[in-house]
Amino acid sequence: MTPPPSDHLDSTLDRLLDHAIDSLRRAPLPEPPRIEYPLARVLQPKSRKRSASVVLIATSAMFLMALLLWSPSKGPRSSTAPDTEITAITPAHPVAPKTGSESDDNRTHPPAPSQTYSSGAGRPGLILRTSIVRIDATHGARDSASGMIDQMQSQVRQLDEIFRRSHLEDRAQQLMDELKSYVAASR
Amino acid sequence: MTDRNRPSWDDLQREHAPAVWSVVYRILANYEDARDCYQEIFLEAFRSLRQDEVENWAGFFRWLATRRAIDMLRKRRRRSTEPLMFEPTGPTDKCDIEHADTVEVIQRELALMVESQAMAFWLFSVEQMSHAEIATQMKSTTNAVALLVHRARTHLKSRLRNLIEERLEK
Repeated sequence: MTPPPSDHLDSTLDRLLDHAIDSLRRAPLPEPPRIEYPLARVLQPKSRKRSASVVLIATSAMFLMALLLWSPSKGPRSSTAPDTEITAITPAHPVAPKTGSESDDNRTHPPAPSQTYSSGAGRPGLILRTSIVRIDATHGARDSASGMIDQMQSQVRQLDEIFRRSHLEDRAQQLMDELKSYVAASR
Repeated sequence: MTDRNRPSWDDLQREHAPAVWSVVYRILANYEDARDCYQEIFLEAFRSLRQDEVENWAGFFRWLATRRAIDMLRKRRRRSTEPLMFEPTGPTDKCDIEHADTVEVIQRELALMVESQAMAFWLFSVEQMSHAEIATQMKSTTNAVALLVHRARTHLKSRLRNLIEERLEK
């Protein structure tokens, strides 16, 4: 029994198509090229970004370290803290030059000179450093003020004595003058 | 997929590069175009390695290669009306000339038929992937893939029939 013409044509087309597919699959191929630039294109820009980030982080870290390690006694470096204002607190008892006769036990230890500064930039590192310096300045100022009060109280006592004496002398002179006037009048 | 389970790029490239090259060269039938497409596929695969979770790398590479090669085939046909130059293999008697024409019809129609049909047909017929594998890569169902393959074959047989009828008329 022969198949109908349409079925025969369809099966022929199927065989023809399958044959072409098989030929495509078995076609010889040249050697594949090397894969080079995808990785270069993907990795290179990210590597640059990563390098820039590392440099930025390192620079920021160095800047913060410089701020934290900055010594108040040496003063700020103009390149790192250009807007920092320094105000020195003068100690109440200046240290006298050490002489040979002066022993270490008798030597007084005045508060260390402290410095404080205000920053207009409001950077965290500066705030931290400012707090440390302010604490130091508070201790020094308290010791300095205590000594100054003692000294002023002593001076007040002296002045009071002088004033009192002066006042008594004036009052004696006044009474003397009044007495003289009474004596003169009684005569 | 964790980094520990993620395959290395070198391993992926070494294992799948021949299959990718086979797909793109067979579809495009042009060394320069195939080379460009080949590089772009590995660039995209490298991005997928970093971002996506790929379970079946062999299927993924063949699906991606087929998709990108068909894309390039379509772009090439839009740019130019030049016929595709595929070098036929084997002896060049009358039968094989007709056979080369048949191969050319397949390549030409891949650029003209619906993209999903072209991809499903190529992956199933030439790359011999199963309907399930194709469905996974195309995010479809096995029945839908089978239907796409059937429609693609019907479309190609229709074009072959037209070709034969044209030859008979001459």
